[in-house]
Amino acid sequence: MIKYILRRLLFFIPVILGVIFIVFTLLHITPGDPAKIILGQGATPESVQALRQEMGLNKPFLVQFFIYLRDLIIHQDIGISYVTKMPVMVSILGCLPYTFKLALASIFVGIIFGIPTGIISAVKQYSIFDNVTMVLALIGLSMPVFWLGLLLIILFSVQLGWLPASGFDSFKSMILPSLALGSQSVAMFARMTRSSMLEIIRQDYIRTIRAKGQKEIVITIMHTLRNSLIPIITIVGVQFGTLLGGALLTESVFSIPGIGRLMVDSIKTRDYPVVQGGVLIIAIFVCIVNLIVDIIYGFVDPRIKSQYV
Amino acid sequence: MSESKVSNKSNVKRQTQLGEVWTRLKKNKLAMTGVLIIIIMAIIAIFADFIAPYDYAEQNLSSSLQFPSKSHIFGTDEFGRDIFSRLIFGSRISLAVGFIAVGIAVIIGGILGSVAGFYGGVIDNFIMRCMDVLLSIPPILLSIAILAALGPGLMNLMIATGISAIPGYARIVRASVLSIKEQEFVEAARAVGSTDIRIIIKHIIPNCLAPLMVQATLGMASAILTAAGLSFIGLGIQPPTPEWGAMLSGGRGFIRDYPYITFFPGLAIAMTIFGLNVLGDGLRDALDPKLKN
Amino acid sequence: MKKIKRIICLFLVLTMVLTGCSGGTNSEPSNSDGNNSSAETSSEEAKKDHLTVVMKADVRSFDPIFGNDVAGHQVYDQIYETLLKFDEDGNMVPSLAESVTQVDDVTYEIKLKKGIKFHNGEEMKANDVKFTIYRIASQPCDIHYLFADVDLDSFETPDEYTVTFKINKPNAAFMSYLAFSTVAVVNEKAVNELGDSYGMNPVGTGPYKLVKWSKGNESVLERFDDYHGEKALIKNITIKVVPEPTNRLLELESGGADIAYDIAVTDVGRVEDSDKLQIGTKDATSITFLGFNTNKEPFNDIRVREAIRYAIDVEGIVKSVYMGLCPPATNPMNPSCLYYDKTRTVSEYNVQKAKELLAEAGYADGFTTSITTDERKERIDMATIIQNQLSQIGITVNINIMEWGAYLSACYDGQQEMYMGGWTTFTPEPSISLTGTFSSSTMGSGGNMAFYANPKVDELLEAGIATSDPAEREKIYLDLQKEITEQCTWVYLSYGIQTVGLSKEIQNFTVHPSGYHTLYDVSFK
Repeated sequence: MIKYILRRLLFFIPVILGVIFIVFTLLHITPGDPAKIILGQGATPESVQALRQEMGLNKPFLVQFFIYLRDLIIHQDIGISYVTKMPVMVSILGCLPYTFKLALASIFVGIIFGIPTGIISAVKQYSIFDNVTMVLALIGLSMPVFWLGLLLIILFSVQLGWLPASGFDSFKSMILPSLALGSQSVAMFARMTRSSMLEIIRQDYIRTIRAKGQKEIVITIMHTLRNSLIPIITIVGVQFGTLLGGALLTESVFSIPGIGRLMVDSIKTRDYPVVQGGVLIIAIFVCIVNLIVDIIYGFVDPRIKSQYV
Repeated sequence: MSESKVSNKSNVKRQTQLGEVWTRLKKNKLAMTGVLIIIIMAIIAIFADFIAPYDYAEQNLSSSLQFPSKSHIFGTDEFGRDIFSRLIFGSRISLAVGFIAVGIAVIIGGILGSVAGFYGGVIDNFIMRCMDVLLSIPPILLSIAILAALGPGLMNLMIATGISAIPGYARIVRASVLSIKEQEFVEAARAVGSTDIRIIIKHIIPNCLAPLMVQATLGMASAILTAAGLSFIGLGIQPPTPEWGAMLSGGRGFIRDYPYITFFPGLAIAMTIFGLNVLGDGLRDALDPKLKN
Repeated sequence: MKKIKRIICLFLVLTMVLTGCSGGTNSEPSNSDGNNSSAETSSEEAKKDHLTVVMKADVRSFDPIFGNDVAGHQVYDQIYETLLKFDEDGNMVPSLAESVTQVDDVTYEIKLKKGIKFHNGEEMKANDVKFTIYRIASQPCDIHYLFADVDLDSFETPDEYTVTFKINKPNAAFMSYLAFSTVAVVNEKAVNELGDSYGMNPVGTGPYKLVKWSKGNESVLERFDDYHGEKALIKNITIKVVPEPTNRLLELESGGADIAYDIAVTDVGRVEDSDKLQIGTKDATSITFLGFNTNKEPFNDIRVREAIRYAIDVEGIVKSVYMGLCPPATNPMNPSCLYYDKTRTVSEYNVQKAKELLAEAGYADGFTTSITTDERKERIDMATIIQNQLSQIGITVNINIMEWGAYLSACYDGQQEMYMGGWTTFTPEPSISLTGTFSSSTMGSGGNMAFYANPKVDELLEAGIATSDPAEREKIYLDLQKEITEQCTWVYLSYGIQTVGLSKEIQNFTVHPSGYHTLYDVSFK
């Protein structure tokens, strides 16, 4: 098991290096000179050149790339922001808690609403409940999150005045963003739970258990649900990874200072070290989440565990 | 001789398969709703010039911000442009974004996936590790970075959306290639001396089409959504292009007094995505042999 | 069964992490909630001592020279002070300095007030002032260009409260640079000791000190009790970042905030009508314009530029985009500048004349061109309307919206054809504004994005800072405005406006024309 985790961790290295390289290349070909932007209107060409020199922007592309790698690996340093002149880590650590809370809260909304819905739909397949909730789930999947967010603001903040339209500090202010971002997860989890359970329900051994006179609720939870968990866990994990980096639109609608907004602002001001560092951190989290999902498999499905060696 | 026979046979088989899929799809009411929505959308997009009562760029500052009425059934925006007409023309943009972005992703992803699956080994490893790299950058961030690098514009928006979707297609194609390449008819083709490229084009790609079709339908939905999201945060689209996400974004400042400006574009996006999603779902079910009954 | 337990455990952990997260963050803001909303109960007193402000963007850095933008000043101007400042009538008066005297053409002597304490307890001395100016003059930052002419070897501190230094050539406007709030006096020891983290831990002399900065979210300030002047009236201030104007107004209306900066022009009426809120407005010191790249065909032809000016309905645009709240622009600089020409009126809207001029220039059938703009909604809106109006004289316009970074780069390099531009002045000194935008020496990244070169303008600009006789200067700057307008380098669109929404409880808030609002005079009724 530990061997497996170590091997997986080893696989991270090329992936993360690739991520750094891609982002580095993209930023390198992006038009817009950070030095000019920092100096603003009124800068002389000489001072722009001097600053480029100081920032190391005059070195060849590959040299810049290896200097970045060297600092990252040897000093665990992801640099100083061009714009604020402060360590990039400070900016990222300031934003991460918001993004994490938002992603967790949305996943939570997804789990508590999505999975039970999916279970009931599967057990009562083709009932009215099943049909209605599955259409609702499809509608939920189709709503652009920024539109849903605005609709929620119009209804609950503007018309009713019940909930704040911005921020993510108090419990009250967390409700609307979590619902807006979580709606997709609800729909996704409900659908996945349903289809995965339906597959198990048809299996012979469930029929056997039922024949033995076991109670329906026990069959559903102990046998069917348990055996349908793998795809559900996968989708929860994947979704969590997506939300970590993709909550940008929700953050923008609800004025939440998360990492998505930091990334967009930094790309706009050509604050390369922050973009670089932010994508790196997100990519690491995505990899870790994937690994955790894989490990959880092992707990759930003994057949997979035996493959770990 | 024997080779053409084999491929003929598989062709015949495939046609009847498609027919069967269609018959099964027809039974699925929800999926047919999706088909209907998409067809209507396509008609609207093609005949936009005839359907729209006004030009999408036509401004009339004196009649700005009008509530829905007889002359402007969805009202007017802050420049006095007719929102209904803009939505109609906007369907072209969204469909184009969907088709082209998915097209880019399918072609590049398909090639990478089939090469990886077919040759295996080092090539497979290398390509799939590259896909892993792309997958660990959240698609919207990747699109934003690509868009920043390429500069603004509708075409660049499509490219950015397309590139960030590549890994999904590469994986699907690779998986089906892996399952197909060991089958007898491929071995037979190889035995009579077909080249690799011929085998890939003649035998493997046609057999990956089913899962690819499902993914492409669902992928169009997410491409349209991503593009709308990007233009919502103000990237990519140039005025007066009536892109739905940009229209929605433009109406943000008016949500209190004129919520219809944001309501209708959002509804249009949601409807389109809904149509594509149910169609994709229906296709998946229809193609799934396990659900035949 | 064991596995089931494990699964349940996993879910429990997940739930706990989640509730732990939200629970942890709950405790803090609920306190401030209490402060803000429950005015009728025991926290009546607390309310009087805690002000909440919502603003558009976050401070980039609390180091004044790296955080130099409107958002930065909105927060750190409560923390720092400058040597000189402008009073309400635009006169320069001493602030931290006892006096600043120009000893000869190029030598300045600063005498400091005694007994002024920094937030870290140190007294402000000559070395701090020297350090402050030297730092700006010697390293790259966005106001470096103003101090580029300071002779770095000339600094002297004859005693603890006196600094003298020289500049390389006479400059009538130099004294006013010392009143820029970016030239805030910093503590030498603190800047050197803290290094990279100084930007998060500012040490100033102002009436408030920074207690906590949660980046992107809010800055928490507290009254500095050793302040040398009149102490601030409110003890605690929280300044929150809420980028969306609609959301800021909602915060203000719900009582979550007492003051909201930058109310959207479309919402000004709503604030006025509210019985709990009041609106503060002031003409801003900015100008928005449509610029031509005069280096490029066909904009090197003055007839084409004039044709476009005739084809644009400036008043209509301003009325539509700013709901008539902003004045249309008539000159190449803001009315707050000295020697502003009050006699000129808005450019004429005459499509017929425009067509004639265009035909005369050889473009009877029009041409295709582009407007480059940054992402500010008003500017995009203006460009969209201009696009439509120019189509009436046969000119097809594509709009290139670029993020700020790409926009600046493109315009500095001269890639643009036409562009939406803006210029904000921070002092009434007209030379800064006009040199930055029209001198051939500032072409490109210097700020002259029209790539405009006119020897007559250059000459006048030189003459303007060489003399300090007001009557002579007035004539020079009136001539400049006339020449620049006649040459049709820009189409002037509008001057800006500052809007602030306030709860009716707030008194003594002054709207600052540049948006650099100060909070230390503010109090609750």
